[in-house]
Amino acid sequence: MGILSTSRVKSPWLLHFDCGSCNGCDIEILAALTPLYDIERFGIVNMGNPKHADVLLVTGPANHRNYRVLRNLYEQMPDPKGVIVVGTCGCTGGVFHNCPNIIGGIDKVIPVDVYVPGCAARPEAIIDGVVLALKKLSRS
Amino acid sequence: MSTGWLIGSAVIAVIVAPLIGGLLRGIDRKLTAHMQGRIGPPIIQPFYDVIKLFGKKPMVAGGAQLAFAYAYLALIITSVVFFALRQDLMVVLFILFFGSLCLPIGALSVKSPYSQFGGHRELLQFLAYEPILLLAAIPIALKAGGFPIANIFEYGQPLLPHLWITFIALLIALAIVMRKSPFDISSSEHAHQELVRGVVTEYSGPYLALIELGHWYEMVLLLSILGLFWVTGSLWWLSIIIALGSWFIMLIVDNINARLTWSWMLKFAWGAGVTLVALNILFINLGWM
Amino acid sequence: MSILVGLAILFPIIAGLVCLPIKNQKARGGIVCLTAAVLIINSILFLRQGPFPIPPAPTWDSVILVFNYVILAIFLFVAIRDIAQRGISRHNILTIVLTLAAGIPLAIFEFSWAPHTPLEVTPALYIDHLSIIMCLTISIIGSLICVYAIRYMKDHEEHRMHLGELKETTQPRFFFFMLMFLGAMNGLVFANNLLWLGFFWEMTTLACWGLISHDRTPIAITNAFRAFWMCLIGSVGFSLAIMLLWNGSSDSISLMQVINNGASAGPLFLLPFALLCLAGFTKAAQLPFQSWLLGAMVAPTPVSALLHSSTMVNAGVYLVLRIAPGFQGTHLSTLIAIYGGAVFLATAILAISQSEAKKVLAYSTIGNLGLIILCAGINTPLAIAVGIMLLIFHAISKGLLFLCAGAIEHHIWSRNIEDMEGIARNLPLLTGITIAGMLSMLVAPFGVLIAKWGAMEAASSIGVWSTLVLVLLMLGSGATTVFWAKWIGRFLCHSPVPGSSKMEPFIPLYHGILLMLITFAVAFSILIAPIYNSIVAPALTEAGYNAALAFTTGAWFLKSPMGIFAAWPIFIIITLALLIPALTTRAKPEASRSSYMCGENVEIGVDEFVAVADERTELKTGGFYIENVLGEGNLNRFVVPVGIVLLVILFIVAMI
Repeated sequence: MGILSTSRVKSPWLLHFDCGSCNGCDIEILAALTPLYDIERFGIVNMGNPKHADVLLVTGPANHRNYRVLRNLYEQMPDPKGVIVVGTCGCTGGVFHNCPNIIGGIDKVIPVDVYVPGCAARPEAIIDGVVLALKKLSRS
Repeated sequence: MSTGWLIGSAVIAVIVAPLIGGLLRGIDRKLTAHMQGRIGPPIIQPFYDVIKLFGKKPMVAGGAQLAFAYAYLALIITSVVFFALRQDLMVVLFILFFGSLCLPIGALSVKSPYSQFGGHRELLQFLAYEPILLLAAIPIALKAGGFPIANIFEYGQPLLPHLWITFIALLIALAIVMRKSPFDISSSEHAHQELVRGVVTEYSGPYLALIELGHWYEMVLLLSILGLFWVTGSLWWLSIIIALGSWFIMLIVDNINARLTWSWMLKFAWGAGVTLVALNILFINLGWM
Repeated sequence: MSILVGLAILFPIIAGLVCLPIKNQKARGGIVCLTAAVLIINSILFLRQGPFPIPPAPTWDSVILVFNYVILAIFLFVAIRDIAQRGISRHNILTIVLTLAAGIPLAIFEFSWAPHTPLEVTPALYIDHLSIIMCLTISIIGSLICVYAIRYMKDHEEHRMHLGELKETTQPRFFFFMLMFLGAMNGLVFANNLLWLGFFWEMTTLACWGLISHDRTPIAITNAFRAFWMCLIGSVGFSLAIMLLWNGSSDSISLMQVINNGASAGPLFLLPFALLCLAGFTKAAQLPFQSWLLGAMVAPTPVSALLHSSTMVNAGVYLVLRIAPGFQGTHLSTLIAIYGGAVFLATAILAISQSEAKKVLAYSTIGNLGLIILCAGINTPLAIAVGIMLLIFHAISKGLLFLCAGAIEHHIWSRNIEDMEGIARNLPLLTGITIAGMLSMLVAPFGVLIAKWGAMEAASSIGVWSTLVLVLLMLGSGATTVFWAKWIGRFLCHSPVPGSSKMEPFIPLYHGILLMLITFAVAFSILIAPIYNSIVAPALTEAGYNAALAFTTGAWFLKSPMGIFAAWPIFIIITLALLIPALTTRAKPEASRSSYMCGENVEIGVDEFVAVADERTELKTGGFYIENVLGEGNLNRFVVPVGIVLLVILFIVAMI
């Protein structure tokens, strides 16, 4: 791996977006930032700004109003970028699948790289998902 | 100091300063993590960050933004070069200020609510630390017999015993420049989110990397100015201890404080910082120090 | 050689009188351009000539005597007419009272004290390097402003006629006052006889009134009267100073003699200096007299550029710089330095709160004049050299900025900084010149900053009081940076432009003159060492200072006793550092993105976001001015009393 790929793997900056989630997965993501799991040791930092982020962490399903915001945020992230969907709702719609106000999983709106199922997804699973996404990033 | 030596030291300064700056930032994050009961990233993490940023596709949100990002870095490097060439301290500071101004002007040149906020707050931070830095050059010059940094070396004696009041004021200025709590008002490291990302909100990719490099140069320049306080005499290595010690104090102050308001920052900087340096100047003029 | 002097003083006055009856715009424009050319060539010839005295011709003494009272009578007439038209107000009463207070002592002096009337002083006019510097500034910058005014006044009157405020052209009267004013200023800076100086002083006050009240709106007339009585306070001081200085021989009202005798001639000898400084302070709109200059901003922009930034107010600081050798080393000098510093700081902070463009420029002018007065107060060779340099550079840059503000106003028809947001998109050339002008006032390596650097180094060497002076200086310097940077940011604030932006149409009388002025600003900053050597150092030596203690120049640096400014290398390095990226980096169009609006942005290049009920809402950004804390309403109640108190202390110190 060249130095650029190594740097991309070693320094993934997150943007966390709650798309329609019940906040269960968001709390688990927050837990991953705490000293117990401490994902900063992998160089992961939670930036609140799409223009600074490499990885978009999305929770919850996409509905007819927030898909536009999701797409805007995705477009404002500079390449190379990756999308990780956390939680079953984001993967397939989850318990809200087929509801009239829901479009479905996040992959109906933006291209997704990694799916982390679970309701709520555990921090270890989230970290696994981030590692998978980084592997994908380093290959691109 | 022959000209060749000086020019050589300037070149070395330009190459080595960002390396030292990045390393200090990395150790900063590591120590902060340990103070917070975590492990933290490896100490070369900032270099990974900057290299990754250079590899991102460029994105522009405003016309003049790019020019100011380059200008920021270029002018700060210029002031580091002049510092290494042992030029007039006040001129070095003025070039540094020109560079520092490019950051808020660049932020203000984007029509973005967060960027505007950040830019204006950055101007207020500038207003807070600029008088302290400029004033601090005066007692140094009064003691060393002139403003050129070369005079400090010729003076031959350490400045800290006479100018410790100024040194304390410079610590306040250092905290404001480094944007450490309680002064992380315009933007913050450690990804504390301050109105999204404050002054650097609309910068991304390679341009953010330029600004990050500029921050590193700026930090090393300020620490070098602090190091000037004991750079002569037989104990010259104390200058490095002083510089690193001040940096460490900033770390502790950052971790035990929360962010405060900009009006408090101005009152504190002008009230405490400026008064301390003014007292030092007064005492030197009265012959007491 | 008296031809040169005659041309400098009389030609513009006669040209102004000629303009009065001419109705044809082009013919008037031609006369103005001719006057400009004559003045500019004339002043350059002065430079080559060098210093020389002009002995008096008796007829001119009588002429000036008579016209002095004619002007005072005009003041009275104007005030009485105003009472008749608009009733009694404090402005016209004060004007009448102060005119009498200035005129009566003068009459007593000239008709009963003086051995013969008119009183002759040898030499009546004296051309030395300081006068030549002022003459160059007045002639070159003043003439350029008058030429700019040709186009500006045309647009101004068309706009006012369109709005129904104006019926027929008033330009003849305008150009009469402008040209007459240039002649009066030249006379002022050459005068050695204090009576002649007083006369030209009154003439500039008259021109000031005529130009501020040009638009004849109620607020313009009120502000013109305010200018009147505040400047008249200075004239009262002038008359009293002349009376105090009189000791029987006509030499005692020769400016050169007065300065040479200095403070050595007795205990009350500082009082005339303080009174002359008071005249200078009122003319330069220092605290607490700043309201007349701020009020004068209602006048058309060339007026503001000419009178109130680059020329007339310079008369005030010219006088203070001129008499500075006389009070060197006294407590009065230190107090003047503190006073100048206080003005600098106060106006810098007040400027942050202003959102009207010309008010910001006005406050900045008053502040920089305070800085020059601070230098005069520090009164070391370095400080006086820096004061003179600051005078030159400030005149160029501030004149440029006022003209830019006028040109911008004529494109967007507003003076509010908030309305100037993002005009860099539509007016790239004009905005570029304006930003360059602001940077020339603000950053290294331009002349104003070199002067500030010199002032700071000079201020550190005056002993215990340097602490106070330095604190005022540094705090003020920081505050000035804030409002300039804020304004530059407002110009540039726009969302990405699809496609490249087109240059706006080039108007020679606007853009041509602006380009000339910014070229001067840059060129003079680069050539600061030769300029110092050729005109500033001789001016210092003539005033009795040791120029070697000010600056020594080398091939590429300016060296002061305590510091060194490597002018050339800094210029080259900074230019390279800024130009190389500016010319090589180009953002690709596909890299444009909207700014971050929490994902609610609509489209790139459209300043809207989606808000309540999914409706598109306009994105509005604004500067901040902190009016409730830093505004005039809050600060004036501290700032004005402080000014009065400082002046009172100044006079007390002058008397003990």
